[in-house]
Amino acid sequence: VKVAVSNEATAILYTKLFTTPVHPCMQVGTEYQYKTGPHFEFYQTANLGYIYHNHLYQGLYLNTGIGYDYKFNFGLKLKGLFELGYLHTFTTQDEYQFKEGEFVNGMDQGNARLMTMLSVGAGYLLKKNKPTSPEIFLLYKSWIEYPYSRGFIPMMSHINLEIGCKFYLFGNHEK
Amino acid sequence: MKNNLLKIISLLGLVMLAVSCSDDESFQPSFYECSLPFTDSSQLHGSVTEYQVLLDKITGSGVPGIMMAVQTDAEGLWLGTSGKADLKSDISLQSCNMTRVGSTVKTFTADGTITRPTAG
Repeated sequence: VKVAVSNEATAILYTKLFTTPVHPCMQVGTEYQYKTGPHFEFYQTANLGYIYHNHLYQGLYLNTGIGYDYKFNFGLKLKGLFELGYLHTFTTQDEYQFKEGEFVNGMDQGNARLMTMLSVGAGYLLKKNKPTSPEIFLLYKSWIEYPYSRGFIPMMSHINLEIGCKFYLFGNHEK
Repeated sequence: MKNNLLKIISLLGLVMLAVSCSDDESFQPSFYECSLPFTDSSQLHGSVTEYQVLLDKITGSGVPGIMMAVQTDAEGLWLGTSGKADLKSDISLQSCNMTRVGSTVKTFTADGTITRPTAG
């Protein structure tokens, strides 16, 4: 199981690391390992997340993808992930709809988006000799939201700086 | 260790949520009152009806609010608006109010870029 928090920014990819004001994201997820070796892990991810951008939107997303970790003997891991997902957003502002010649207050059904995410970062195994070692990780996630504003801005780029931990629900389980 | 990690991450998430929340900006009706020392003679303009019908047509199609200024040598200045400055407070837009020009400025920039060299 993975639990992580991150700070989102609407930014050109790889131009920013951490920005303010903070736009928090929370994510829980899991991994399924396809292949492992002394120095690598190749795995599938599945995540559920929540993103909150004050004054603009809040959203829920589901994504999945593949990841590759390179492991050093002293517990450090270099991580790379590519994930695809669905994001559904709702505005955090008052919303008005134009009906029969006037604006009326009311919510719509939100907006459906596709999200394509490329992440790079590092992790550290806290008990490097145990196959079920907890891990802390830091990821720089760059992602594209599509569609963004139909007929105006087709897609929007975002970055997240994420910190999280990975652990096995049943600590004594040996894979 | 697992529980401690979870606590730290959860706490961090809560702190980030707490610092990221703030009230939306809201304006009192007095914010929209006109106080400019300016005498508006737009109602005396020869094309007042024509221009106003045009603006009302645009807001009638779903634009929340619009303002327009027309300056000609022959007829002088016309300022007009249609729609709302503030939907929440139901305040009508006036020609003295401030609006964001947004990407409209691109049109003016392009126009100026083309016409200024022509004008020498």
